[in-house]
Amino acid sequence: MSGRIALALTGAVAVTGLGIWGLARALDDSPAPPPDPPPAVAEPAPEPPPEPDPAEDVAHIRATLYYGAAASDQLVPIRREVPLASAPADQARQVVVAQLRAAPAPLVSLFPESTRVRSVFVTGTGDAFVDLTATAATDHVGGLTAEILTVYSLVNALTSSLPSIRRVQLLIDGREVDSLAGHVDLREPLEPDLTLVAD
Amino acid sequence: MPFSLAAAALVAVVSGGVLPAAQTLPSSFPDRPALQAIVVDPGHGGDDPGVTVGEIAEKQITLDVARRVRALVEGRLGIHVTLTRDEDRPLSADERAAAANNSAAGLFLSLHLNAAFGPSSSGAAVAYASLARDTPSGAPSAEPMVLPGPYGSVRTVTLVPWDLAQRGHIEASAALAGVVEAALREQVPMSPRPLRRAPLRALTGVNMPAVLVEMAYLTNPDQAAAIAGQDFQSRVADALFNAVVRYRTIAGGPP
Repeated sequence: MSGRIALALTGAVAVTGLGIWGLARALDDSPAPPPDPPPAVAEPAPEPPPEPDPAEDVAHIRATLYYGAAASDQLVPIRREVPLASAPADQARQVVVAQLRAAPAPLVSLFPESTRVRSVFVTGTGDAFVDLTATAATDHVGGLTAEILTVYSLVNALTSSLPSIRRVQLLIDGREVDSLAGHVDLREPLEPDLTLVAD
Repeated sequence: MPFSLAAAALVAVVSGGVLPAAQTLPSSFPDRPALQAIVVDPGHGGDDPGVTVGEIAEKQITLDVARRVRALVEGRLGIHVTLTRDEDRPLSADERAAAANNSAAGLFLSLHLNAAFGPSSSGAAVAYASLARDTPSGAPSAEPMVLPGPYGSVRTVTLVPWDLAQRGHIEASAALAGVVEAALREQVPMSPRPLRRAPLRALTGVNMPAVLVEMAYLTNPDQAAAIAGQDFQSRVADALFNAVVRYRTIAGGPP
């Protein structure tokens, strides 16, 4: 009895072995792997590819951003390319990110350099809610004029650049706030104020 | 048509952003009671210093000038002056409005110092409120309510929503802004844009004509040095005293 069992086991092992051999042969028909690389040669590292020009590789829209003039209390508009986005909130975020970047000389930035956008929401009725980091308020210089220019640079940028946005409300750290520095009421979405823009 | 000039001036502000002072003076406000009390609001306070440059803090200058205005107005006119704060303590915008609305005062002056992003901006300015909500300016804020009084009598009470309190005073606030701007112009340098209209948190809940006075730019070194001195503060206080005198003549009070 044990001899038969031993014979059967031997046969099963043989069949399994043949199967594995056949599979290995089949795999041998697939393309050969690349040969091992040649031994390393001491060469300087290749230059990294240059940063692609966003204007060439990515679709853009033209946005109007607003910065301060060093010698006057008015907003100065400039046109900038910002990446195209598919959703209104994503497009609004791109405009906000561009607005928060440093102003081109000789204009001056109106938001503290440390300010970042946390999120942007856009409603179907044209209200945009822009959630900024707390430094937008805590690092602000204060004063009515500075605060008006800061707030309306963003309100005007979004409403000027994106026709679907009519009003903008600024939030800080995800929450509605009274103001950035005690003056401009931020508890409601604000309409643009183009009287602040230099001629 | 006592409001015709003020209304015309209001349109000028909306369209052009700058309100010529000469057009803001209506002949009178016969529907407003005589001016018997005013509120002066020293901006900021406590852990909110406002604009600070070196040792100069906005909250202290505003309190110093507010006390000067109180001394002048109470001493010379006999008009009671309520300060929203008479010490260095923080106040929310609603607390300031509550102090004003509980005082039965006829006007509200909120004192501040300005700031800009460059050192060259200078001059005083006056701002009054524009309101973000969609209710038309000047429209009744709430329906009158008839409540029972003593001995079977009734009394009519109009409850004004807190956030709409300033709405019924926008035209008078515009006129007050013109009066204050003209009085300041006689005493101190003015900003190229001396009159502004903006959604001002400090004024939204104030149930009386109200303006925000930016006395000087603390970010301008020359103005910072001036506003820290007695002479400049005295001239600002004199200007605000003169503004109260002039506003009283158009608000129905004795000349």
